[in-house]
Amino acid sequence: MNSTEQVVQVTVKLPKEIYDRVVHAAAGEQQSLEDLLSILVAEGLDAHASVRELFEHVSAQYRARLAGEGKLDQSADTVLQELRAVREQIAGELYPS
Amino acid sequence: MNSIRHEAVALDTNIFVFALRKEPVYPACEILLFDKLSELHVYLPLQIFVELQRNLTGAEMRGVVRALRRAKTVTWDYAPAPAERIVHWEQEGAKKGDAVIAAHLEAAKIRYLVSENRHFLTEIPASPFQVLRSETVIELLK
Repeated sequence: MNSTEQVVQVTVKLPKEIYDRVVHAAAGEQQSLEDLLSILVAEGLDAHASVRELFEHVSAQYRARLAGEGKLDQSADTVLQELRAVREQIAGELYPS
Repeated sequence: MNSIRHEAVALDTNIFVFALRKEPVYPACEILLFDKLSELHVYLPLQIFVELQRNLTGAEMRGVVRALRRAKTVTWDYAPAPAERIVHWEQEGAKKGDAVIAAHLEAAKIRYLVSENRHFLTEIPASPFQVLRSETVIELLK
């Protein structure tokens, strides 16, 4: 989990059978019970959301971050130039000649 | 009848970035990704995966990955691009980064790249894939 994400502590009651299944799955995936429950809740919410709703959520996060960094008003050409620079940088890292 | 509904298409990093930014110059990126994704077979090579990671936070990346599961199919190709084909496309005139993308798509036999980067067309006139703008893909899906 990203350390910059806000977290809220909650207490939930689960049927014993569900609890046992989650414990078993967490052990199998070598994840903490907390992390797996968090993922399962997020995936359960995702299942009810449209693709647009899922992307709108990410877009709002992204745009807020860009605004904070003073980058939201960059022109499309500037963004394309930056993406090309990042592409060259990554290609150089992954495939050093 | 075109094959865009039946064949895998690679989505370039700029499609994701412009869609998430809601870039007014390229509004079709948002429509394609947010509203048409479930009609596409999506292919994403290692280079684009790493570029997305570089541009997005962990939480943003997880959100994109979760949304991409709603495509008809999504293939994350973590194999490196063939080195000799990267060299080949560089010799054809592509910058290294674009040569990597070309080598990925060629190796995976992907015939469509959706991108707003027009350099592919000028750098690699004999590329083994078509470069389509997002608005063109939306038209083809109608």
